[in-house]
Amino acid sequence: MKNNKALKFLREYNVVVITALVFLAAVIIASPKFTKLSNLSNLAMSIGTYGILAIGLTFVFIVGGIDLSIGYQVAFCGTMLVIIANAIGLVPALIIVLLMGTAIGYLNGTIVTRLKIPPLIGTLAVMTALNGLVLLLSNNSGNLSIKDTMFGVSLPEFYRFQLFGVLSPSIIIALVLFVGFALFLKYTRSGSDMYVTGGNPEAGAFSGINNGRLTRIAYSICGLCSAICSFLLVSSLGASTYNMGDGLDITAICAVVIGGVKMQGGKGNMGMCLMGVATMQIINNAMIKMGLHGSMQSLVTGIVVILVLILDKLTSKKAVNE
Amino acid sequence: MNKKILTMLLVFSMLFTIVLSGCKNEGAADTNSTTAGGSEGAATELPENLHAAYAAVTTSLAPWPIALVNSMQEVFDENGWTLDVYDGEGSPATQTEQINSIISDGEVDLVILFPADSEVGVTYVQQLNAAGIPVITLGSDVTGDGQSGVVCYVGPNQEELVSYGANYIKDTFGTEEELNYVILSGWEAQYDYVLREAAVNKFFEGTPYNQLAVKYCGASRDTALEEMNNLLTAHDDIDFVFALSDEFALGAIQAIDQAGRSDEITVVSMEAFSEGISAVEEGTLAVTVLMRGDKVVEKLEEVLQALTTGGSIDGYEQNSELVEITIDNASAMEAEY
Amino acid sequence: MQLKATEKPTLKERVGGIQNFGIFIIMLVFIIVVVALSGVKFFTPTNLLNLLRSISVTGLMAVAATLVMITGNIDLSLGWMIGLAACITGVHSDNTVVAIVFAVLACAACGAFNGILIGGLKLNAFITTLGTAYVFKGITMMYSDGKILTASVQNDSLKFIGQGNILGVPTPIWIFLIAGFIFWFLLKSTTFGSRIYAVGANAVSAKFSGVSSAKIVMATYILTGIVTGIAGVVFYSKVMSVQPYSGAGMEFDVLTAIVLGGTSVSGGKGNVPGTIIGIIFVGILSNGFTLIGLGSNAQYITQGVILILAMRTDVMSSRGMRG
Repeated sequence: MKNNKALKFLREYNVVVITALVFLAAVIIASPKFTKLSNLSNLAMSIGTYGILAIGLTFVFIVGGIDLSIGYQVAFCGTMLVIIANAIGLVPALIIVLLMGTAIGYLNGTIVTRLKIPPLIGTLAVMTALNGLVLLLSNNSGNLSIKDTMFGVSLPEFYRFQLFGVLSPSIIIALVLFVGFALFLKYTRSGSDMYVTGGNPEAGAFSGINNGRLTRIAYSICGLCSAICSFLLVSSLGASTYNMGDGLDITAICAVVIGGVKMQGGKGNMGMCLMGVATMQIINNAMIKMGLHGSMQSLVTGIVVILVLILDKLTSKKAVNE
Repeated sequence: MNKKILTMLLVFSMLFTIVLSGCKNEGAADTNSTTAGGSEGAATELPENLHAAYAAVTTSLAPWPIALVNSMQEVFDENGWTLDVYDGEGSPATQTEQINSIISDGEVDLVILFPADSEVGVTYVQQLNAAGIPVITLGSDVTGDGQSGVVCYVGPNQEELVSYGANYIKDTFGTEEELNYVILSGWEAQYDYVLREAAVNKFFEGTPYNQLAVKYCGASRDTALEEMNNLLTAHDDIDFVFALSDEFALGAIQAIDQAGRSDEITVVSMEAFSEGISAVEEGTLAVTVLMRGDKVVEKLEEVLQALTTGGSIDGYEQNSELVEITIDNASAMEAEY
Repeated sequence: MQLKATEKPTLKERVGGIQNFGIFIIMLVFIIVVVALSGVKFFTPTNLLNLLRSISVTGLMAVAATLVMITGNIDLSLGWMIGLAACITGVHSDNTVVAIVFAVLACAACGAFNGILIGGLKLNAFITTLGTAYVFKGITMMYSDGKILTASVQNDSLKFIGQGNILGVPTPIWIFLIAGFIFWFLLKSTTFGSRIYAVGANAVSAKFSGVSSAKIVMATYILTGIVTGIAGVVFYSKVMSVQPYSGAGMEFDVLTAIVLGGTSVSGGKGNVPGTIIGIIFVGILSNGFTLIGLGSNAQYITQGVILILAMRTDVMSSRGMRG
């Protein structure tokens, strides 16, 4: 009896458990540098910025797809943001870029649903094309700084503005999106139908669910999130660089998977997404604080991902055998 | 529903404990009181037991940054200073996290910055100055806007680096003939390469030389080899190759050699390392320029010794010594790596 | 290519066993455009040899990874595996035999690691190899100290692997072709090969016919590891220098090549000749654009568009075959 309960707890809460453990470990190992308010606000900022990207990816995973192009979506939107903002101002640039991001997402969705190309390849193709576009746009010298202001302060200052010490625009936007999308997934028809599209598309088709439309919506949301993330990233850097998207896709995928969202589709929610991002960013932050060399950081990240996968497999397997 | 509530409670209690403990720590001095940097000979004072952070675009991906960081560790040890090294792995995003971390820790008196991206570097300088931490740029500077916040730039003068190869070409071939050339550069957006490329264009302004192409080879000799192969096939009439680093020159020389066109094409480059110097000795490379990391760090040591003893420095550009290497002096020169 | 007893080969299947007809046509069109714009430079022996040599390293990995993909899996850790192999070769550049043996063993171990997780524990291949990629990255960076590794002594035998010529054709091309032949034979004419297709088509029914999918999957990953080890040696010896980072991203070229060659992402379908065509095409794209005089931007954009077109024609044609 005890065994079952423990296993059940682990299975349902394993991400929460992991986050809590990681957090405790981080605090113990790296404090007091870790628990300084300034560090926590740094942490919150990165959870916000990268969390938004993960939110978009979660939607794609729920409908059973994958998006490899998010890194270059961010780079592309960021570059366009700077170019357009320097030309006609920040606010119109923002609007245009948000629309562009959504459009790219919609393109991905169309490739997957209408052209019926497997998401892995389709988004790989879009990623390659975006890579070329980014290079082209930045004239082979991606140094573009953004000189605009937001509410009267420069963008990097805006990014770092702290409410109550830890709440900066990126984490606030992330939380708003998180709550909004969580409600969408739980309480709207489209939201709950997305799970069916991902988990059991044939059944969905039979019950009249428009899988194609929902998938396109999911990819579009992902594109929108990439655009928002690019705005925040450009703000934090003060410029756009042609390689600002490097590694973002892999980080987001790992974060979402660590959180417990399944790649096969049909399972996962915003809470899992946030937990996964928080876990990864806490680990990253703690590693910097500990002064770990870059190679060690990679090793640790890889091992964490693998451990989470194994843990997940073991707990669900046992559950099946009960 | 229960699970969600539990999760929320857990998250909030964690946040609550941290904020509490965080608030306590905030009392301790989080930044130092030295004046933030300014320009020319500013009275920036640094403590004698200097604790500096070196945030570099990379400390491992190319020989020059490796030489820099090794020399720096030595110099810091000799002078009894402390150095924290942050390897940016070539990525502005990573470097941003590291700068944030440095600011948050508030332990260092000075940041020595080798920026991953010169525009983004401007943001770092502003943030660091706002936190009261002076900045010295090393190896590659930040762009114009940010330089007012930097105490000084220590490193090679990019234009000077280029001048040797450029003048060699002009002297050897004269400036009347129309010659075709290609540039082999490194990372598209790295400021030092951007400056070098611009310098090449500047030196060849007004000459009839024809620039056929600029190829970006990252930091890889292999890519330079492939690019040169493609260029050789695409163009029958290349006269010289301006490589912005010995690494690419070596790849190009191999390609030219394999194509049997060594007699037709001259290669000039910079950043001499031992293989490059050997190539000059053998005659396959016409010119390279010795840009020694330890010389740069020597300059840095001068600057730091001045600043930690209440002295001042003369000027913003603290350039390190460069030595042109041609076939005449190659055998006598010793590379750093 | 395995044919079920009840199906007669259609004309498309008969074309040299190449399953993806669409890509063939697109490639032809592209070559015609390139030749038209750049003159006959494309067809000079030097250019063609350059082309083949430039894709030899990724080609090696691709022919081995085809087996992995036919079983329905994927390997995204290739970029760091080859980085590890090249660094090992660099560190041991004075002794060719030691270098090769060590590099191959190390990568075989990496492959086995992948195989245990994916074949044995049945974890999702995509995420798992992303994770193992990080692990191999850490190992490679630690092993090489992040530094560029250049040969300090003259080692002609090692140099020959990357820079030599046999009968006028560069050695890497020979290695690539031999590997291609071996894997083609393996897939087409051995029991092992048919088992790979079986596992890919339907792991459950394969199990019922006595095929242990765990062992097969494990074998594919180990084979990929071994070949990647060799590829790493070749990669290093092409310029007798390497930086640990050099391999990053190669897995996407490999993936593109395999998919263009007709292998299905969900497994069960695909072959080695297709992959070879795929990787050659990727090389032609790069080579062709340089000959025309366009930069890498144009190349990337076109590569993306062509990938979609090729996949689209493949999807359309296979739909046609079913209907």
